[in-house]
Formats: sequence, C-alpha cells, structure tokens
Amino acid sequence: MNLQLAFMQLLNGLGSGMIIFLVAVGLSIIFGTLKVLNLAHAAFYMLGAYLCYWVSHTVLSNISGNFWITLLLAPIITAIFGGALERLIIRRIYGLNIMYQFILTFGISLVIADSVKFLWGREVKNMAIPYPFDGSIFVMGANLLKYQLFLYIMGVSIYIGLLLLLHKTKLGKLIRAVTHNQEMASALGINVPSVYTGIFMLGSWLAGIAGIVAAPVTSITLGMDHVVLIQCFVVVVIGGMGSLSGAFLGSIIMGLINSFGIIFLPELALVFAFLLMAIILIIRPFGLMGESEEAKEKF
Amino acid sequence: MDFLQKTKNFQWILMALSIFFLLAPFILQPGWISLISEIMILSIAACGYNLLMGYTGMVSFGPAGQYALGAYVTGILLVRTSAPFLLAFISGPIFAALVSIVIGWFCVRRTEVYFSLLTLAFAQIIYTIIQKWYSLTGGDDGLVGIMVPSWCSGIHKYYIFTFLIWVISLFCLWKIVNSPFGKVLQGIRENPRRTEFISINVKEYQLRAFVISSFFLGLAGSLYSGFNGSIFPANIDVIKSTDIIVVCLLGGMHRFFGPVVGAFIYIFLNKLIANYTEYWAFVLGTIIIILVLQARGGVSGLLEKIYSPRIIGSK
Amino acid sequence: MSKKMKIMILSGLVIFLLPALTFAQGKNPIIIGNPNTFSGVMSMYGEGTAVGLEVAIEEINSRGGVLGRPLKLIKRDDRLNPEVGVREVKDLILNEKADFIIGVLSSGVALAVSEYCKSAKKILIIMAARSTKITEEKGHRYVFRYCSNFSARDSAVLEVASKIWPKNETDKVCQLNLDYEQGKNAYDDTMAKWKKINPDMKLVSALWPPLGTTDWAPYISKLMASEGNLLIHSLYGGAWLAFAKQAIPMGLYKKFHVVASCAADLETTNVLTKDSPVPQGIVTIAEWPYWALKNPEASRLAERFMKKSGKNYASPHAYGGYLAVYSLKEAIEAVKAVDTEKIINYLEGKKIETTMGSMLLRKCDHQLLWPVYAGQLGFMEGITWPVVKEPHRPQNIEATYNSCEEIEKLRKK
Repeated sequence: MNLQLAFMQLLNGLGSGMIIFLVAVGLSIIFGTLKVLNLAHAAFYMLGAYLCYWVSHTVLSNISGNFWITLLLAPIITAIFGGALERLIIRRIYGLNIMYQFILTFGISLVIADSVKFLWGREVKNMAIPYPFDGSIFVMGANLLKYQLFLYIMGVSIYIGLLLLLHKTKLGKLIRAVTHNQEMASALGINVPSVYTGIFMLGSWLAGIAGIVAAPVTSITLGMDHVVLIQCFVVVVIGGMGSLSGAFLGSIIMGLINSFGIIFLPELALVFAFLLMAIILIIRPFGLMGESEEAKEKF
Repeated sequence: MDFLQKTKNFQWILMALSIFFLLAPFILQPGWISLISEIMILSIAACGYNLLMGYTGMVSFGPAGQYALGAYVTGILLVRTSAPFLLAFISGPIFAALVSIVIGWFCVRRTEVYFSLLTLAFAQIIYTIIQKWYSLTGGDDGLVGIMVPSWCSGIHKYYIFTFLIWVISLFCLWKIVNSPFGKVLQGIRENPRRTEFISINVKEYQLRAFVISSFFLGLAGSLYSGFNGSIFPANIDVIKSTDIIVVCLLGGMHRFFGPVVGAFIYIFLNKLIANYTEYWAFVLGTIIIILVLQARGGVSGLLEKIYSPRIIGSK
Repeated sequence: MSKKMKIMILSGLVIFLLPALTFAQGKNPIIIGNPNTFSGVMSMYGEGTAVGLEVAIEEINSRGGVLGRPLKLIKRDDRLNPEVGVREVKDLILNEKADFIIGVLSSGVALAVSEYCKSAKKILIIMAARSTKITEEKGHRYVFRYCSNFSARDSAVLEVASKIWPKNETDKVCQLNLDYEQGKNAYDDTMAKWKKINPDMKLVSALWPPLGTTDWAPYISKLMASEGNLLIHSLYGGAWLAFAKQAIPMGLYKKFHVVASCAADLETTNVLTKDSPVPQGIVTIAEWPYWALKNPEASRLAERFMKKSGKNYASPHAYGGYLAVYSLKEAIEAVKAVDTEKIINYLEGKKIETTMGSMLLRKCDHQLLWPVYAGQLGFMEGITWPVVKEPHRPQNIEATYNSCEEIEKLRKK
C-alpha cells in the first residue's frame, strides 16, 4: 500500500470520524450529565436527516443555499422536540434501574422511527451535496471530496465550541457543577431540572446537526438509525462516557478503523470494533479519556 | 407476592396451565398451536433471562447471544452431522452455558452500565461471528432443513415436546429461585454490599446466575431451531434481545410467572397489531413507554393490584 | 386458592380458547397470502409487489373470478425477519386457509418460508427474492419464481458489457460487493462468467464493505488508486445512491467502466432528476423496461400500476405479481379445481405469454425464464428520472440462467 493511498484514507477516515463525532458527542453528553443511556439518540439523528431533506425540498425548495439555511434552522426543531421529550417523559426515569432507561428510550426510538415512516414514506430520499462543497479537490495526486473539508470544519468547530461552552461560560460551569454533584448543585440554588432539560436539548440539537451534515453523503432511508447507534455506542465506550475529548478521540479512531480496515482486514472490521469495545470495558471501562474517579464510585 | 411464593399455589397454577396446554391441541386450530409453541419457547428464554435480571438485578443487554449459541449449535449438529437428536438438542444449552462461563467471568467484574454494555458487546461479537462463518453456519443464508425425529415432528408432536421441556424448565427455575441460592441472588439484587458483608462471594454467585440463565436461554434457542426447521442470523440479532427484555418488562420482572404472561401477551399483541396496521413499531413503542412510566410491575403487577389488595404500607 | 384466583384462571382459559370458537371462513374465496415487507430498509420494494397482485385480482374478480369464485388477497408484514415471515405464512396457511402464497422480498426470509411451504405442500411463488439458492440448491416442487435471479442478471449485464466495451479496456477488474451472501454470490458468479468472456482478465482488487456502510469515500479512494479499468459491483438502493453521489465527484466513472447488476432500481432512481449527479453510462439491468418495449399492453399495465400506487413509476415486481396471479388463474381453470398438485403439473414446462415475449416456466427449477434486459443508464424523452435507455434483450435467455444439469449437480451435493 503506497503512501498516497494511506494519506487519502487518513483524510477519508477523519471525515467519517467527524460525522460519527457529531452523533456520538450528544449521546456522551447526555450520558455524562443525566446518566441516561439514550437509545433514541440515533432516531433524532435520523429525524435530522429527514428534516434536512424535507425542509430543503419543500419549504425552501427554490431558494439557493437551502442546505445552509436548513443547517441553521432544522436542528432547532430537534432541540425543541428533545426538550419536550425530556420534560414529559425522560425526567421521570432519572435514577431508575438502567433497564428501564434502556427499554424506555428504545420504545421512544420505535415511535420516532415509525413516525418518520408515516410522515415521509418508505423510499430512499436524496439530498445533493451542497454548493460550495460539491465536487472534489486534488490532493497529493488523488481526488478528495470537497465535502470532507466541510466535515472537518464542522467537527472541529463543534468540538471547540463545546469545549468553550463547558469551560469558559457560566452555563458551562452550571453544567459541570450539576454533572459533578447534582445534590450539592441543587442545594446551592441551581435549577437542576432546567439544566437537565437544557442538556437534553443540547444533545438533541447535536444529533439534528449530525443528521443534516450526514444527509448529503449517506443514504436517507428507514433503518439508518440502527447502524449509527451501534457505532455511537462503541465510540462512546472507547472514548469514555461523558467525556467530550473522549468522544472526539473515539470517533477519530472509529473513522480510521473504517477507512484503513478496508485495506487490511475488511471482513474483520466489524468484529474488531466490538472486540475493542469489549476490551476497553474489561480493562479500562471509563474509556480512554473518561474520568476515573467517577468510575471508581461506580464499581 | 405471598400467594405465589407458596409452593402449593404454584403447583395449582402449573396444573391449570398444563390442563389448558394439553387440551389445546384438540380444541385449537394448528395455527394457534404453533403460536403457543412459540410462546412457550419465548417464555423459557424470558424466564431464564429474568433469573439474571429480575432476581439478581443484573441487566444484560445481550440475551440473544446465548440464545444464538443454543440455536446454532443444535442446528449445526442436526444439519451437518448425524448426531442423535437428543444429544444435539442438549448440546445447545450446554455449549451456551460453557461459553457464558468465560463471558460471564469478564462481565461480572463490572457493574451497572458497564456490565450491560459488555454483555451487548459480547452478544454482537457472537452475532458477527455467526454471520460471517459461512461454511459452518450458512451465514445470511441460514441453516435450513433442520430435521427432528418423527416422534416429535409436526406441529402437534413438537408442541408436546416443547410443552414437556417448558414444564421441566419452569419447575427447575422455580426450585432454583426458592432455594437458599435464589434467596442470596435476591439479596444481591437488593444490596450487593450488605450481601458481601455477610461473607457471600458476590461475584461467584453472580457468575453462577449468569451461567444458569445462559443455559435456559440456550435451551430456548435449541427448541426454536427444532420448531422452525431453520435458523438465521436475523433470528438472533439485537431485536431478539429487546424482545426478551420487553417480554420481562411487560409481564412483570419481579414475579416468577411474569415472563410467561409477558410472552403470551407480547406474541399475541404482535400478531394482533400486525393485522390492523403496518405501524406496529409505533404501537409497541407506545406500549413500552406507558409500561415504563405507569406500570413498572408489568401485567402481573397490575393483576396483583387488582386481585390481591394489600394492607396500607406494604409494597 | 382464593375464589378470585380461580375466577381469574378460568377467565384466562376462556379468553385463550375464544379463538378456537371463530368459525372457518366461507369456502368461497380463493385466498392468496402475500408475505411482504412493509417496514424497514427494504420496505419500498414491498409496495410495488402488492400493487401488481391487487390489480390482477381486481381485474379477475370484475370478470367473475376463477371458476366462479372471487380471489382474496391477504397481505402480511414480515419485517424483513425470517422468524416473523414464517410465523405469518403459517398463520396464512393454517388459520386463514390460504391456497397460495405469493411474495417475499428478501432471500433470507424466502429460504425460511420456502422450507415451510414445502412441508405444508402449498405453492409459493417468489416475486422479488433473487438468490439462486431458493430455486436451485434448496429448490423443491412447491416453490416457483416469477422474477429474474442474480445469476441471470449477472449474465445479462456482462453480455452487454462485452458488446460495448473493448476487451483491453475491461481486463483489470475491481469488485465491490456488500459483505453478505448476496455480495459473495455476486462476486463468485461475475468472476467466473467474466473470465469466460475475457480470458485475459485479472482481479486487481476486491472490496467488501459491511452491510450498512454509508461512507464510501475510503472504498472509492482505494479503487481510484488501483490500476483497474472495470468495476463490477452489486450495490443497490440507498447504498448505491450514496456510493454514486460520492464517486462521481471523485472521478470514479471517468476511470472505470462500471457494471452494476442490481443498481438503478426504479424505487431508488425515481427521485433523481437531470440536475442530480447520476452515473450515466453504467451498465445495469431493467427488469421490466415498459418505457422502451413499445408494447401497448405493457404501457397500459404500467399506467394502471402507477395509478394504483400513486407513484411515478411502475415496479417490475408488480408485473411479476400480476403474471403470477394470471398464471394461477389459467392453471386452476385448466385443471378445473384448486388442486395444488394438479396445478403444479400443469404449470411446469408451460410457456407464459407476457409483454416481454413468451417465457418458459422451466420444469427443473420452477424458474420463470424472465428475460433480463440490460443497458446503459441515461435520460430519455418524457421521463424525468434516469433509466436504461436502450435495453438489450439477451440473445439466449435460457443461457443466462444456470442450466438444469448444473442445478442437478448442486442439489446432489
């Protein structure tokens, strides 16, 4: 395998890693703070992708640049929807046995998936790669999709944005306080339920963004949530539940496994991902960058 | 529930159900008999799983893995070798139990969500291996032509066979749950630390529960292979795991017969909904949501509230 | 035991025995069971199949039915799951007393259902599942197929490819197939067949993306870096669309001649327009090219199907279903009874007249020798989405399918 191909796969892997990051980071944040394993997260991603298709093909169909407008507006819809879900349903299961969370969010994902089928039908939807990122650029003698550049920009921006949010803003301080010790935060007068709702909305907003960003380069079809969900889980475990940088690192690792795996051991790529997940859980369950003190309390 | 804990009452219920099951082939049409066989198989899997979840408090996300091992080992032996049926049949659950000793050893060293995710990882690994090992398992083409001997072939005869296994399984599980071992498991569920303090090696008991539960899951898988005459990776994927978990939740995971009730309702509901609408996932999802929010004890919990009024203050 | 408990158990027993009290339906209608897929990733194909059956049944019933009895269709959702599929077919045959089963999309479900229909001795007509195993290795007396199979598709596209592209431009082969049975069979089959057509060919690269892959860039980069000039792939539906969208800007279609045995199904292509990126010029199949047949009956039926489904395309599966129902009608009327064994004897070896000429329902594997038209993808007057512009009919249709001798050998193994 030559250097040029290796470099291309590196670039490809980073790109797909960015999409995975956008989906996984919401899941990680929700778990880190709310301690809820949100199986419906991938359904929000699917919702985001379908909304992208719908908004740009119907509401904004004759406006140029409709993808970008959708990217700005549609995640707000998923965020609001997530907020409503949290208020009505999710907040009733905080602290319950994990099985209830698992099965409840699974139930929610079924409802969302069938609603998507009802609203948009069964056929595959097509979302064109948007200008100015359609076409390719010539890098080191080979073609790279221009859209990969957009993926890098999005992934890194969201990562940096979230880092800044968590560490440089007052809101971030609230979130970290609530994550660290919810009782204490409440005793200090922080409106914990509202922070929780906000975090769930943030996670849903991120899932929506991920769906829209992925829409031009993936198949918008029923069942698209299943594949993504499994990948998310693996990433979040490898990177560490609740760790922002862990999700970023884990996603990049996942993306690179996918792109390099096809060269070396194509058949084993899938098994490898789960093996890695199992190994991490056995050796270092809080993931590569998770917080070990938290984990110590857990086991 | 005091009522069920009494062995006498358990025997009454088992007898009533047995009478019903034995009469059924003469009253019901073959299509329903086949359905009841499926229900019994699912309930064995669910009761086995419930030993781990409801009684020991260990939430596994991957029961389909052990179910798969039972189903495929039996299937492979019956299709590719000339092993006698009963040997092939019992090899399934035994293999599932043996593998689960290894898997379980790793899993019980983690708690809560990490335990759950690790069981999921192992189940997915098993699934992927089965799907990829074409020469052994037939991959996505599945194993077809699983033959059972003439004394249990055909819908009615296999139904009787399933029924016998079902009675024996439930009886064994009942004994296990009510033995001192079973009490320790419930203690572990309630408070692992305290149980540790009375010098119980918690991990060892958890591992045993895991292995026993795997045996019954594998047994259900083997039964299913014979029932269906074929087995595919699609029969043993994540959906199967969620089916089993939903059945326990639906029927009630803190009652012995909960999963049995759950299996009945789940399969009937599946059929009923599918006849009226193609949006079965929506209906199922809604039912799950309502159950978790309002009726965590499942159907048997609801029945209990109606039929056994309690004095104020008790659970 | 308390009185309440006894009442509860008794009422439980009664409730469960109630279904037994439902009386058998009137013997009058001839019942066709349609196990289909209405949920999940392949569900868009399911709609198409059902439409054909419904149209045929409406037409026949409006003319008095078959032997004076109306036809009745019962649809069921198998959710692409063999467990559910077998359960539904059991219910259709045992409880609903279905006389025939027509349907099934996925090969996995088809194999499971076929086993059951064999033991239940009911006719199963497959309308969309294409694995050769269903009618070859695992074929039996009761299973029929009214659509092409993968082997025929491979032969058809390779025949066209050998005609339009010179051998020296198609001798370095790359293969891209999903890593499951359909993909593996496609690989084996196309490699063997292309070797016969172009003996100088060599395999440069074989890629195996797992099911559910949506990120095709790494595969495309690998292909672009190779020295291949012919790409053979078996992607279909959404996967094919995502692949094509990413491959076009990366220049794949400039480098490779592309042969795709399953791409460009109407359910997927109908959303594309002239402005969408479309890989024009790829060689693919057209199962029922009603737009180019110049056959008035084909056009009429296509209109009917489109009206019934509300879509802007007519699925070839609909036509297969339509033919299946009419075949059964013909057979029942010929043997003057709804007698499975007699119907099978009648149909075996029969020539069925269709809008694509007369097709032989071969005896050795019960495969309807469906001509697989193939050609290059492009845009035609009057159709907004890309189709195979000049569909080429294989010269020897039977030769595109595996021969009866080969099938005998496979079954003996």
